[in-house]
Amino acid sequence: MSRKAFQHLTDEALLDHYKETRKTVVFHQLYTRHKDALYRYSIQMAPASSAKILQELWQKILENPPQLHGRLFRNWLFIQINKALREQQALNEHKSTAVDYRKSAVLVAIQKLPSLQRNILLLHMECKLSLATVADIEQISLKKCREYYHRAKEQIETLVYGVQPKPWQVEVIEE
Amino acid sequence: MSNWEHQYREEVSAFTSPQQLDTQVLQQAKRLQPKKDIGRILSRASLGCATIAAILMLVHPAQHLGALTPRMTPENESPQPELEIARWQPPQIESETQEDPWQALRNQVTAGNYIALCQEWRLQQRTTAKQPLPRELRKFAQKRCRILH
Repeated sequence: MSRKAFQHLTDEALLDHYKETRKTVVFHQLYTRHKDALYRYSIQMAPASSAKILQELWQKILENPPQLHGRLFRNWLFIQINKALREQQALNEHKSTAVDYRKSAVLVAIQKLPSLQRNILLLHMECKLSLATVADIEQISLKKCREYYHRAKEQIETLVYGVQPKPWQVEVIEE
Repeated sequence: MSNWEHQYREEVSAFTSPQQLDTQVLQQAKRLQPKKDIGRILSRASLGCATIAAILMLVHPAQHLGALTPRMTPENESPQPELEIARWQPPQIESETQEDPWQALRNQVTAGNYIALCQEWRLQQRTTAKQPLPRELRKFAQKRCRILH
């Protein structure tokens, strides 16, 4: 069976199929769908150890395909990578980055964000997780999560384009 | 989508999963792929053969012929049943000899004596007899006898 035959299947159906058959072609389809988004996310969160973390994650999936219990595979994947990245960050914090961001003002600005805001921004913007899922991952309220997300966007705008001149505001002086 | 978001999408599109990582992961997947199970294939083939054999046995006409053959047991076992069937004859029906009540009268008519015949006929004309004269005797009587009033 060719890879095209599995294109119409959802991630969850593919995972079930892989669990039953352990066919490389099925896994390849699943891997191709998520590998780049996972890489982009992990390299911006933990550049030094992203390749190692990703390899471990995929190995875990290969050896013991997860039970999703009604969750989306995509969500499960980013929850797992998030956990692994946290553990890694706790082990070796402030390690030098392996990626050169100097050419891109936006990527540099993202790197300057606090870890929590960067994580929320990337999970929503890059990984396309809903803010509710991101809030669950970060174990904060949805309101707070939305607030962090918008603040992160504002900060990037400020970092990329500089401080925007605010229009004059006339204050009403109470007599 | 703001300008910086567009810019981000363009710049980040260059970040793709490294070839080395892809190769390692896919090699691992190949290593974990189960080898073709010959036992399972053989098992399926044998199951198929057994099914076909069972169908053939059920459909085969010998199955139905055999079903009609009585089981041989010492009780109903007979050494030569065919001979017995061949020897069998239907029971003979004993012929009943019936006496003709009109024989004496017939003899007299044959001898040319019609007196007894005419008497019997006249009697039967007057009364309803239990045993009417046989046909030929009645004809003789009609020709030869007179009815006396």
